Amino acid sequence: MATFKRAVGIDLGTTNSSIAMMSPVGDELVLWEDRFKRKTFPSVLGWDPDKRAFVHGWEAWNRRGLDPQPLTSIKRKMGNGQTVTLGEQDLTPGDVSAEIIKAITGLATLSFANMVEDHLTILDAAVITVPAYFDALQIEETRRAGELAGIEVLGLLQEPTAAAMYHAWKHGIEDGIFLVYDLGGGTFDVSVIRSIHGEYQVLGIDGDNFLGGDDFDKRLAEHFRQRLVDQGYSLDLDLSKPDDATRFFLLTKVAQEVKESLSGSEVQFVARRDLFDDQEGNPVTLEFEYSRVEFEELVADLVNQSIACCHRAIELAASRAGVLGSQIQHVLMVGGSTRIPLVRQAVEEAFCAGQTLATELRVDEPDTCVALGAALRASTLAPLEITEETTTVALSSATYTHEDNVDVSGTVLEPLGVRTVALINQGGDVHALVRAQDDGSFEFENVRLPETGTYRFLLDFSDAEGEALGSVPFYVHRGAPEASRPTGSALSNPSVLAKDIGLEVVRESRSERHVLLARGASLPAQGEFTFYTADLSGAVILRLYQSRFPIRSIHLTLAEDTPTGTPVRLKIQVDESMAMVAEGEIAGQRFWAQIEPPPARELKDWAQIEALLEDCERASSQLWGDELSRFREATEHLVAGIRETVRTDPDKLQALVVRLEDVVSDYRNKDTQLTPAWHRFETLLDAVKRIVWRGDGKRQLGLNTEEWRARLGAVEAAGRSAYQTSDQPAWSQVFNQIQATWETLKQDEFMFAAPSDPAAYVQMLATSLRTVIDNFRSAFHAFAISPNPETAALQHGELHRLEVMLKEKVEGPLALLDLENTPPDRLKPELDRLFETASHVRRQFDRLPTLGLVSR
Amino acid sequence: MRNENPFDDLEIDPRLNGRELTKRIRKIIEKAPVQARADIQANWEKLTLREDERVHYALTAHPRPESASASAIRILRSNIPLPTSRLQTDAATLTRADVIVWEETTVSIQHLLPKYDQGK
Repeated sequence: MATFKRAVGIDLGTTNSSIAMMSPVGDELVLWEDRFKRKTFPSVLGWDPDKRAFVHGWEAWNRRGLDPQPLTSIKRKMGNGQTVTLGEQDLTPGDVSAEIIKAITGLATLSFANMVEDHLTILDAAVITVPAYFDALQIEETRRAGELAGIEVLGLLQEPTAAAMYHAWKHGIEDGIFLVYDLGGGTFDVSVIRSIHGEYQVLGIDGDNFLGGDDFDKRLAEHFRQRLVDQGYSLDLDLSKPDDATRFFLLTKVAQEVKESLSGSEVQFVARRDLFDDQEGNPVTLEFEYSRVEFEELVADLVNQSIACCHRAIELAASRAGVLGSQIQHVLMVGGSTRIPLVRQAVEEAFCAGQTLATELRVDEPDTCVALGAALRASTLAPLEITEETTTVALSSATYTHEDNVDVSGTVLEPLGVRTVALINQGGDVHALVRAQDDGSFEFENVRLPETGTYRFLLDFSDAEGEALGSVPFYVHRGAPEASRPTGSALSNPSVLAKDIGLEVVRESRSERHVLLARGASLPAQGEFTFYTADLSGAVILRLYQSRFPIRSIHLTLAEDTPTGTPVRLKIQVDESMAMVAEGEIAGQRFWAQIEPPPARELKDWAQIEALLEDCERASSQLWGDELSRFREATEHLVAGIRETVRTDPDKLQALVVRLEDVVSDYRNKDTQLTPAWHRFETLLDAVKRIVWRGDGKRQLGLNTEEWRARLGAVEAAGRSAYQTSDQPAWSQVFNQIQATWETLKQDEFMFAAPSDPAAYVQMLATSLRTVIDNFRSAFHAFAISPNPETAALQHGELHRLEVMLKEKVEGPLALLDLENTPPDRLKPELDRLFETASHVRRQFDRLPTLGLVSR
Repeated sequence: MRNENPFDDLEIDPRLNGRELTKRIRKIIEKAPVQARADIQANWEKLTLREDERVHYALTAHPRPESASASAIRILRSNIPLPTSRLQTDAATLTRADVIVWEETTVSIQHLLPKYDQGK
């Protein structure tokens, strides 16, 4: 009996996991399913105190509510450096994931064993998927989990890419641009992916590791808690206490059921008698009607956050590859949470209503397409290994084609000394004979497959004397001519860097981060750089960052007479699984360092969080105009999230705190405590210079180029002086000057410019208005709705009104304008009027956070 | 030393479009040793990520007859001296003699010229 060894694809999900494999014939992807035909396996680990053993999947799921509570949503804790307790055991999230992988691969091994008649199929290697937005620590822990489970981890594949690969394979799409919207149980990912002749490139990613079905459940559970409190129950919960945690868990369980029911019905009657006892020992009963409309209002801001992520991914694709949103052809919906009608509606409105080439959402196996895509990738990364008695061959060529011929290539692993390889067809005739290379490799070109269907071949091996050494069977499937099955090869770049890799450098006596490898770079990535020593300290410190977080410092001692300006050559390499190596040379001294994943950040207590919130408020009070809008856009939803998750989700709370710290540090320099930070000043100064030195002969704001040069030189010098002396009042003054200059110039660009070509000018106005509309949409989606239900209802109503206003009074009339054939002098006033209306909408939008407040 | 132009490095026709060159490079990577794959993949990305960059590389690819191997360009390039470091600026006074490659090479510029059929 021949044995086929194939690598599998594993989707290690927050709520459910799944596993799939390419069949040994190569014509179909096979998904594991249990005896009840369930294709997913709950990512839950329990402990059975009677058997004193772990229980997994459904068995663990059914222990929810029993002591000890099973561990759920462990993926959200990956890489946080904390341990979790299950019964008497303390486990890392990686240990828990390893147990889940071990269980699911064990089940799949049994299930896949007899995939081909009379042959045994076994698995020992896998591609495991990870969210595109996972950082190095989370990825490393996922890899470790696979290894702990006893399987060879061939690679880690980003989930949206896996989904796109499966989709393209199934539907035979060789060329296309995909927007993959992946809303799972605990994470949200979005990627813009391009396929060129069946090879994949990730052009843009964004996401949120703490946005998923769990957040919808917790939001609803918290809403139910408030209702119960209003009914008089004593439920002021503190989740650090086990009893309160159990109460909230039971509420979350009900919330999940209600959420799922509301995907199919408009109203649900929620009735749970004696669900648990409240803090005073009274049995709690839930009894009320709850509608889909109410649920949608409750979670609208979470959905909007995901849409804002999509816009950022599209922006990244545009800057990296010049691919615009309007060129996207397919919008894929992935993940169980995309069943929520509001999610589908929001994505459809944002991306299938003329903004892209897609006219409808593509939904195909949303729960399992990630595992199927991973199986596809696994089949291209690892050769199919076939063993018959003492002969083993690694077949590296594809076993599926839609053409009438195929190349067959591979390597004989055992026995050694093979010189001749014969390809024997199913009729027993020798189809071709080739000589094996010294390393055992061989290749048959253009093996004819006259009809569609499955072909069985035999590879027969002989030594130099012509003595038979053994043979192995294999299969090739020829599909219909139109049934192309693009799989991607080693050429595809399915993973990208989720966060910038930077180096701390010194400039103007101040430290700053210099980006070495930018977010979105394809993996593996590498870069070579030259820096120079800046002092005579006799040492060099290379401090590397992932995004804004230090990950490794390399300290090198130099000879004391090493002069300032000595070149420091640095090479950074990052592989597909984000493993990083830095090497280089300075003054003849070579260095090499493996960069370990960054240590987990210290957890913040509430006092530290309060201090951060105050810091955020202080930074906000020192900003105005566009700078303030940008800052608010970046921080408001984080602050709202922090206030909400204090009660409901300690893990998410910590993640949000880290993000807020990062944003605040962008606006408030950590060394000097100056607000705004130096790089904002530089950005504005550069923007002003780009306009005033454009060389179009215009006297911007009435100044000529020389006057501008003098003025900007003075501003820059004043800025540098204020910055170096950490003089906040002087710094604010000079920053305000440059910001005011920029905002005035920007307005002039569009409102008062008088280009020589009026037709080009009105086209520019129309393009700019479209950008304004897109920015509004993005701002609407990113707006942080208040956690207070009454305020939220008020804000929802106002947001809806503004969206309708934007659509009916700006976007609609703009679409109706005949920009090609209408004279510019008639178009100009019309466009000015639309701009004015858009500004009016913006002013009202800016008032949203203070809606309903009283004034003095 | 690798060529900076992926068309030269991969020895492929600069006239191919993104789709055609993907097909061609896939054939190359399938037969390449594992350690060479990362470079091939990086070159593929250089040529396909941005259309304007592919056109730029196509226009700046080294002109050569189809019969001449691009490897010859690589060997010639390897003879170009490295730029001097910032510390050595005093010694960086170059003479014309410095830009002449004196060592004997296995390839001469003659190899890059079209091969005319002398028999006719």
